[in-house]
Amino acid sequence: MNVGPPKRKATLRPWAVISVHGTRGLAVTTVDGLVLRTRALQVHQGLAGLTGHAVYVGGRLTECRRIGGDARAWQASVWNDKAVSMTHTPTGLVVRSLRGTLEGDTDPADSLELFRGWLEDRGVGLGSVSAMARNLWRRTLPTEVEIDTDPELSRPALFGGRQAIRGARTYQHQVLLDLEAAYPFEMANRPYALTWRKVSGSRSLDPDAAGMVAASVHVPTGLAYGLLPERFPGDDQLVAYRRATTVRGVWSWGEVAAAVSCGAELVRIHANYAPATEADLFGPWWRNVADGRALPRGAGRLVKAVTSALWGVFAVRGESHVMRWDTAAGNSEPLITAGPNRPNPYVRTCHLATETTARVRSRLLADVLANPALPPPVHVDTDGVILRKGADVTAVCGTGPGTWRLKRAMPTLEVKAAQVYRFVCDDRLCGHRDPLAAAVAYQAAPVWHYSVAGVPASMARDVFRRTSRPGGYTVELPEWPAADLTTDDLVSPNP
Amino acid sequence: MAKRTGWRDLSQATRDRYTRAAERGTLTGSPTSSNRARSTAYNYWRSGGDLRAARGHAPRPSVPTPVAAAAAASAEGRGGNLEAATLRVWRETAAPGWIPPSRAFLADDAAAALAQLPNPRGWGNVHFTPQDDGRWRMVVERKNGGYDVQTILPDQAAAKAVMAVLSGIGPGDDWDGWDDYGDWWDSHDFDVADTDTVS
Repeated sequence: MNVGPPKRKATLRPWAVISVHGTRGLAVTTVDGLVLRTRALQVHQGLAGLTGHAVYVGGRLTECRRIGGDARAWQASVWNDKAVSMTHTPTGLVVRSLRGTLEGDTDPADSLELFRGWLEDRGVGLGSVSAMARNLWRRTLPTEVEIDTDPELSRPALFGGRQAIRGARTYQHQVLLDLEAAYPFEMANRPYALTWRKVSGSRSLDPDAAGMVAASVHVPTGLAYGLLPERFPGDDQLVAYRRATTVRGVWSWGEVAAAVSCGAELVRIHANYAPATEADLFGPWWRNVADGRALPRGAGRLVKAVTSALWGVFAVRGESHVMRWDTAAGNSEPLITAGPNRPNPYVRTCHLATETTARVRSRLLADVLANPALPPPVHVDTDGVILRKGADVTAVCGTGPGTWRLKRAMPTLEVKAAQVYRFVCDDRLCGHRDPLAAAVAYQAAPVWHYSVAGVPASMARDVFRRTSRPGGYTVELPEWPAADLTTDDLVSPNP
Repeated sequence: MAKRTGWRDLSQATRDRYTRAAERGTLTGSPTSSNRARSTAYNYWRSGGDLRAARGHAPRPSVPTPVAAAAAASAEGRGGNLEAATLRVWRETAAPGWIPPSRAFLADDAAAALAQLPNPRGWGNVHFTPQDDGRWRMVVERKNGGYDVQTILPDQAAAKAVMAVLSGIGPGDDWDGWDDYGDWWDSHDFDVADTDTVS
């Protein structure tokens, strides 16, 4: 596909945040303040009056169906089993989610207005998170480029972030390290392939070039963690990092080079692809948006969400569906039907997501997992690791994007599964306003912080409690010998 | 390219010379068996092809032989470290100014394939034909009535990039290489086989 700067000037729209008021009323927050409407006619007029606004929802997107008291007036666009927008069919109003970025914000209206100004300074109008991500990037492209690689090759190599645990239990005296702005930094760090050319198997796997290789790699014994991801046979949602065996798959050059530098042996190259045309696609974009992450409160979180969403645009797949409700109350099971058959324009750019995620995994592997100076982490999640306090992390830590930073201490950590844990922080005032009460309360009952990936903070505690110990999954092993795997090796990208 | 007639009017020595050149590959660019050499020579001669190499006066290649060989190997999926380095160094140090310099726009092997053509100041109409193996043949008619010249571009992306340049929408307005294309698009066309003429 050809990608270039947008040909049209951005449509700059004011914003509005709507939510359910009472059981069926409408609460609308705009730059002018909050307006509440309760009667059905008022609600309808309120929704109709928002035409021309970028409308977002405060809370869960599908809760919009309660506005106006007739869920049949609403329909949701669903992509990969997730509602991405809601449409009020009588008025045509489309409502989108801000992915929880303004949750807990003391002044969400101010944050949103700040974000709008920042966005418009860059020539982009408000829209869905992924549309804003895409447009911010396209505005920084100097000219049109053709990006075209075979998804048959790049899709199998798309593994996402790495998640793993050492064991589902309670740990004491841990610290959390994370790689600051991992994805955008790695995207801006090196050029990407725009097209590939098949090359000889003798061609070196240059870690700085965005090539792809189908290979067999022997991973040695004695490692705390495996080196290369593999898709589990028969279930492409499961990813394994096996050790003491020869693994076969498709990976980026950088990831295989990192594995080889950590002790793996390249047994055989089955097919090798080098960049034919390449470009620094994201360097100007990152320089244009990096400062926005420092905006205060929710505005900074919005910029972070928008910048972090960009690589995912290239990984999109699946089909769209439409969700409707057949009762006015909307309490029944929703009806899901096939959505409009829209071809995915980004299908031949999947390698951009493949390469991006591989770069972050390679940093994680080389900097931490295979670093003999550091103890094996007890929890690994994409761009963050939890390891024993007291480990000398000064050699890997730095300041600024693309460096590891010591994010917080965790005197007590309880891990149930990869991406499902809770911890007590070392701030004795945490959760209490009175220091004396805090000290007493901390001794008696520590304040737990819950972390469950993909789940809003308000629901994390319940999900944590419902997750049984130990973590991991019971799976059939149709091909690989069971001895090769432990539950710690095998994780799902989306538990 | 004007077709020739009167093969039998040529002397026996001349016909034999072209036949031997066809067998060696100096006539068409690729060798053929002795059984087919005579028919190959006849067909090539009749089509109006370039006979200079068969006569022992091959035009000097516009890119060094190692670069052309590296480009061919790369286009066939056989490129290794040496080929990649050869093409990269040639592109950075010795490529003609009318070759788009950006790797985002044109791959190194495609640039080397394109550079095997003469300067675009002498180009007439241009014809693109996709090959069965995914590569694209690019044939350039000459303004001054000389022999047509051709090159093989490694893939569709390269062909599209060259077509973009011929349409005047190439690698940026500030590129000096535009001077060599002059106002080509005002007086010439390019076409893609089996499609309507695009100007």
